Amino acid sequence: METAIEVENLRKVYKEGRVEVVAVDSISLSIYKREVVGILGPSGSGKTTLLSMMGCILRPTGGNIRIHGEDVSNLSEHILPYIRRKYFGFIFQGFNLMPPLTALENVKLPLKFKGVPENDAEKESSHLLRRVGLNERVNFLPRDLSGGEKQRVAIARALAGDPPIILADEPTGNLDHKSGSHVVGLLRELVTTNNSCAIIVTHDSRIFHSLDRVFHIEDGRLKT
Amino acid sequence: MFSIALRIILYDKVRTLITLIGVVFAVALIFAQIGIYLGLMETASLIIDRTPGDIWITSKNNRNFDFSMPFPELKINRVLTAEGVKNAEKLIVTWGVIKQPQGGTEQVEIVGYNPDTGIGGPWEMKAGDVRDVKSGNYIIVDASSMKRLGMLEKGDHREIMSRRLKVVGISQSVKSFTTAPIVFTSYKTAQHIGGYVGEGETVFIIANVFDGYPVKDVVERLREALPGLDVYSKDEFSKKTRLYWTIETGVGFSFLITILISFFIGMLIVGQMIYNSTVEYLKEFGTLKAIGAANIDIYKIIFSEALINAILGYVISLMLTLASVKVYKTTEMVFTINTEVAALVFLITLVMCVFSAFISVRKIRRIDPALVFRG
Repeated sequence: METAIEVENLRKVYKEGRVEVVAVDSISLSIYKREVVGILGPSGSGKTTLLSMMGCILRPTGGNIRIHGEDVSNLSEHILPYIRRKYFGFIFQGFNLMPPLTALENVKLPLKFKGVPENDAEKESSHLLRRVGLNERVNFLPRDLSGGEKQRVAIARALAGDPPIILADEPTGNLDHKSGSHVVGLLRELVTTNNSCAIIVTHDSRIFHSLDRVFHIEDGRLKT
Repeated sequence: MFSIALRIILYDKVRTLITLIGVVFAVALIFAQIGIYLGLMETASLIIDRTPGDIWITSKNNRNFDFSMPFPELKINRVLTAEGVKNAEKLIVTWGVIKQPQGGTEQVEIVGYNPDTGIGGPWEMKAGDVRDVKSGNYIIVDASSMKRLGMLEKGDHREIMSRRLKVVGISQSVKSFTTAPIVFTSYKTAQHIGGYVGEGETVFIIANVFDGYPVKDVVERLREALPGLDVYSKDEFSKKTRLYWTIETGVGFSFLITILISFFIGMLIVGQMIYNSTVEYLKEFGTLKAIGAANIDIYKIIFSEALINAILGYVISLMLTLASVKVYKTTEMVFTINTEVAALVFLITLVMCVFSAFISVRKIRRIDPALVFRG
């Protein structure tokens, strides 16, 4: 199996006044292509910090991260947006859609940052919205969409530009059971079709059965 | 990024409206201050600018058109014999008090010119002719003075400094920065009104230069030939007069202060609104950073918002200003609005709005990336 993302002795220490708080403590793990894995743990266990570091949003205090074999641990701040554009699609618990933009325009955003020409971006975004079943909602503003629909727009946005890794933070946290199952099913289907992988941080026990592997984190450490 | 900024502006209608009102008021105030200031300066040097003459000769250390010392009129001979001088004419500017028919008095600025050449006289007549003041106690009053002097007509009489004068013409568009009505008369009559200028004295000599002679060179020659007098090109004297009223009276400073206050108020309003918008969209901007936007992409959105506010606010202010020009005219105020003023105010508006956007830049740079993962 080909490795998509590999972390080695990853560490994150925050300073709160004079006190040092270890949020992630020497975590090592590998995630492979076509996998849907879960990161579980109680609140404050460090799972979101781990996800942020794997997504090159937060810089680690120590350790290494390799994405498709490329070491991204010590890259400068100016390079990181490029790395995020190249490798990742993000899904957030609160959807984080731009309220003034339509579903289509929200999906087009990552393509804009990648420099995809307007016409191509429009075609790809429409295709992705069709794929998540929102072809009737392309010109709707987020305020006019249901929670499940918003999350599907967020998924379509995460898939724009075919990123090899999807990072999802509590993607079913704000959804009912039916919508939640639909979202995970959708992710599984897309990962398989795109030869990508998905890493899901979740509390939601209802989706455990849909995951290939699960990592448990407690107090910043991986539990075996 | 411009389209995203436009969508944000259209989405937040109330905020946009408040921001626009702020920009419109600030810019309209800047327009008004610059327009009125330039209008006043135009009147300050109006007679110099409209009189056909390349060179103005005045008493030593004279500072403006309105308050000048007399000097011997024979100096005109030295002017006429200077190389490059085509012709020269004398002009008197003095002050007097006019008696009102219903009682009371008004101060008037008296301009005495040679009726044969008309140099220094009115350039636009509503009634009568510039030559009509010749050979007698005659005056021409300006239509803009009627509010102060009463409704005068040709044939009416008025007393200035105990001399009874007949109105022989009504001029148009002649105003003074001092706000005193301007009364035109013949050079000879002006010499004998009020006693400030005596027989054989003049206040200005206006010279014209032959084609092919640079005015600057003739000015230098006259300066050498007339050491007791000051010699200026028309442009120099016009600027000197405007500068006098701008600096010496504090008029320029007070206008400048008002323009600066308007600028800063506008900047604060736009800055606060964009900052509020940035704070409100912080999570969304954090999301954009997470999905691959660089800081520069988000700065582009912020500055585009400022730019759109600037353009919209400016266009509305310009339309309001153009509409208000008519109102200014009814109040006898001179309001100058031209392409240069419009371009200058547009530049000020852009600087005002773009600078205001810098308040938000620091906030964007410091967006905590982990913010996007908070529910």
